[in-house]
Amino acid sequence: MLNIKNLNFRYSRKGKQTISDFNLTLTEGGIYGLLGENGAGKSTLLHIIMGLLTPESGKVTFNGENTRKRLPSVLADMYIVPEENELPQIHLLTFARKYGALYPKFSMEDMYRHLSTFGITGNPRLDKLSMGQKKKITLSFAMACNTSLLIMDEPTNGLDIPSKSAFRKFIVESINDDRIFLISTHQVRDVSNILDHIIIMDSSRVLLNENISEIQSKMKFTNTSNKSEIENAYFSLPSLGGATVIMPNLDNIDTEVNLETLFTFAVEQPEKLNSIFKK
Amino acid sequence: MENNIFSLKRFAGYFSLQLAVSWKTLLIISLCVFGGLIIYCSGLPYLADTYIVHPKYAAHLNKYHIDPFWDTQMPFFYITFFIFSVIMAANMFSNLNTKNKRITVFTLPASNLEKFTTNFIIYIIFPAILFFVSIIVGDYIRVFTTDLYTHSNVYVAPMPLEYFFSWGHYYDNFHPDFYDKYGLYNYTIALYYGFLILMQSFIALISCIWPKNSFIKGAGIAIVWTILIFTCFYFSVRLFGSDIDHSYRPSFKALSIGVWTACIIATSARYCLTYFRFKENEIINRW
Repeated sequence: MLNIKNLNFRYSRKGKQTISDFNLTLTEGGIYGLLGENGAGKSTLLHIIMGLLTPESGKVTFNGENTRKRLPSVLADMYIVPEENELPQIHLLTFARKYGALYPKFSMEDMYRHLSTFGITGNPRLDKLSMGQKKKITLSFAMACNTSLLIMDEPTNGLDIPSKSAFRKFIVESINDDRIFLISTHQVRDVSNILDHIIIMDSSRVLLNENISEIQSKMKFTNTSNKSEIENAYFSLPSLGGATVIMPNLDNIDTEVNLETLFTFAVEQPEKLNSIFKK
Repeated sequence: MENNIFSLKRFAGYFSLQLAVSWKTLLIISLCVFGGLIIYCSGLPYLADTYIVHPKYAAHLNKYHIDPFWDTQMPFFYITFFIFSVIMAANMFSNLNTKNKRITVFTLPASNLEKFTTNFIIYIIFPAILFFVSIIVGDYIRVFTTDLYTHSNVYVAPMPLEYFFSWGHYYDNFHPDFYDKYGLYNYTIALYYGFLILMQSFIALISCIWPKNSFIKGAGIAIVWTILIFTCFYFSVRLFGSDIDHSYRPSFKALSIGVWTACIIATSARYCLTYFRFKENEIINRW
């Protein structure tokens, strides 16, 4: 379990408060999508979770251990795929062997399988690869480490369309009751079908922290040109031929969650959104 | 319960990883050091006509078996070893000089002590071993190449390590009026190596705080700090010098022990500080 309690952080003493009194708990078995506006503090939060930044106050614990201590036993069960990759000037297999040796659950077979699905063959030198290829290798390695907590910051950036599909497939196949996946992204269409829990944040609070089934049970996402439906909706965004609306799910029909509309709703009317889930 | 402080197996894995990542850089450095010293040791005696028979050396040739070039190369070794050691110390935390490298290093599952020890071995211990081996190899190649052009009555031999570590004191008699039994040479050695490890540890600390351009920043701070210390010392002596008991003259042995003790304590304290600074490091530099 990942527990974030009363977290406060700023980059400099005189700078603005990047994260303020933030609380969050993530449990095993979930694929969490972390959404937020630019500058909301998503990457900062991910770095704090990994122990890479020191909070002003508050604590992040993973399986009971404070992650800021960066204990090897905790690090061996966590992995972060950063937004930008910098791989060493070595060959792929050397990278897999040397780095994989530090992760107890690392599987070379899984690594080969993921690389093959991404279309990476041979033993190329890592620094000679394109950004997209480096991303594929980093993702393959991250998945092959089989850590209980896998954090991904903009994982689909730089991936081609077939690779985005392969990525979604890996995520869905790899999740189990012992693992937590936390995906921070702006590319909601790349991950909307695989997330089972949505977290929308701004710097000072969690605007939404609900699982997909709960969202679907309370809300219906649809496009309509019916004025009465648009007026009675929780939220609406103008679109071609009418509006994209979020309506009360009165007839208990699950519709596909439109993450873009939901995100805009959360940012513009957080109190109203909060009241829907508190009912 | 897992050992989160120091595990030999994990340390070996992490060390092996760092070697795999930086072996090319270390190989290039090794080749440059070897090559530079070989060229110096073999080329300079020829260019400087060191091995012409000279009256200064002729009188000692049979008695003391001193090769004329030992005196020339020894100060060069000491100066270049000092500069090389300090430059390598400045790169001790070069694997933290970008944000992404920091993310990689700090999230790898090894303890801070294992990561610190790895950097220490690669950038402090390895350069010292490399340099001394290079001196020996360069010196032997000098002996081999000078045989091709020297006179038969000139003494050409590899420099004994006793000669190197005793600052030219050899068989007690090379400069009989200048050295005593626990002589000035011991004190000079203590000053040199003491100052070397002090500078190395200081530059290593600077490298931990500012991994980029740490050599320039460290040298700048060291110069300012030295000027400040000497200024304080000068004014202290001017103000309070008359109160000092000038009849007390410590022996060179006491001075050597004093210098070694002070330098080892200060160096150890600096490396401890460096370790704790490394432990608290983040992916951003706050200052």
